Amino acid sequence: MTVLHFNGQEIAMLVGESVLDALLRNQHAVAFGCRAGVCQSCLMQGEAGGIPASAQDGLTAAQKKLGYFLSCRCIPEASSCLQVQSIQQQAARTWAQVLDITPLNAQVYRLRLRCELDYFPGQYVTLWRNETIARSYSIASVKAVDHCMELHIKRMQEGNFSRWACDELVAGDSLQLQGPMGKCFYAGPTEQPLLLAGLGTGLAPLYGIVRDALLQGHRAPIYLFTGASLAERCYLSAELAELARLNPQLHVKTIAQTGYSEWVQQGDIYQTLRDTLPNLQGFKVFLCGADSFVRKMKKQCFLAGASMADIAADAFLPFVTP
Amino acid sequence: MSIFEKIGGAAAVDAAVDIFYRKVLIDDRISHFFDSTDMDSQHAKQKAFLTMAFGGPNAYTGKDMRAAHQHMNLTDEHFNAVAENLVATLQELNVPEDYINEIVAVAVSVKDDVLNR
Ligand code: HEM
Ligand code: FES
Repeated sequence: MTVLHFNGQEIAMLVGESVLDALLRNQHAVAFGCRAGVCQSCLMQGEAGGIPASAQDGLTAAQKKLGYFLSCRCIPEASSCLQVQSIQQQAARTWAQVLDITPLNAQVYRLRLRCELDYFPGQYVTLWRNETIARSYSIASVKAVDHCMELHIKRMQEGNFSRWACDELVAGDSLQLQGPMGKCFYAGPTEQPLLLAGLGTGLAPLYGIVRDALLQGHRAPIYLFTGASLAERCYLSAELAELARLNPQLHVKTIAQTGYSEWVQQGDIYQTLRDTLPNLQGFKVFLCGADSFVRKMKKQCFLAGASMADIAADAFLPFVTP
Repeated sequence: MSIFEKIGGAAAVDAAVDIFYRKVLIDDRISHFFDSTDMDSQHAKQKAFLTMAFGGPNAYTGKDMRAAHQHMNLTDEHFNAVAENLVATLQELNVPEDYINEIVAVAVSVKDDVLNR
């Protein structure tokens, strides 16, 4: 049997159970979000040695040294004994102030924050509504241009976080934020052709990455494919068209399954990509959006010649609440 | 010098892995074995396969090979498909004929374990 020592208490762990699940099962009010190793809201500290390396994926070298780990990803070896404690979560977070929150279409809101954090456009942060509700969002802004942090929030009817954020946050409010995290960002070289593809708010990180690349003087062609199920769910389409007009190396296609408009064409994003770029050899690829989209696109891009090492993907995972 | 060193060691595996994995994914005889949802972990396993086939350092025993493939009920046809894709990959990379033969010999040496015979 594996025994977990938590803040001075002993807990008998079930086989295959994560530290987070064991704590929740024993009614400890610990914070968590995605339960998939992405948002880092379940960060805890443990004694060195007992923490499996997979529970520290995505953490900084300093955090690993301190024994920090993601409790949702931590399944200790059978018959071991593990000592863990909560950390002062505040130490991992910073405060941000709401500049404004405005709808971009019927579902997606643009939240702009003032905060000190340095980041690469395309990375993501975790926002905290309170001590237990946290959600991750990708960064759409380029600090040097926008002078703020911009996130795109899809308002979900049942969204514990998003409905609150979209309906109740107002300019001047403060909220806590953790990060930045993730490896989906532009790092050159300026001569490598780029493909960026995202559905829905998968556009947010791509909007940051593409403008970052242009700002850094990217010279090779950049192809941005974005879209949604319905034409009216596409957003920033006019802005993207304008960006492409100003930058001849940028090619933008906004594609809806159903409907079209001045900037949106009707079609299938997978097929349109195949027809436009049949050969992706030598391309750097960024894919963002729902898990199913990212998986399908990743395979398609790989088979079209992109190297696995050149495909950066950021799948948005549903945050599960038990 | 081992065949692994002769063809360039880990760099050779890196050069071959994308080509080989792409071939396997579009080969109807065997693609279903490799079409798992997590491409990154499958990609890593292709590297393990190639390192071993190239006679490189690996920690697998015949017993491990048996255990890793047992549940797949593999046949000669599956084995041949993997071998053909391996050879085609090496040819595409202009690996000399004798080296290719040595690499195929390594693969054949674990055939019974892989096919659980
Ligand atoms: C030619 C001789 C072969 C060698 C040397 C070999 C070697 C390996 C190695 C080293 C692994 C990784 C094991 C692990 O670490 O989990 C592996 C996994 C695998 N092999 Fe082979 N293999 C051979 C033939 C085949 C054949 C003929 C097939 C099917 C057509 C096959 C299908 C697989 C699959 C699907 C996995 C991944 C299993 C998983 O996802 O856990 N292999 N093989
Ligand atoms: S990383 Fe553990 S809950 Fe999100």
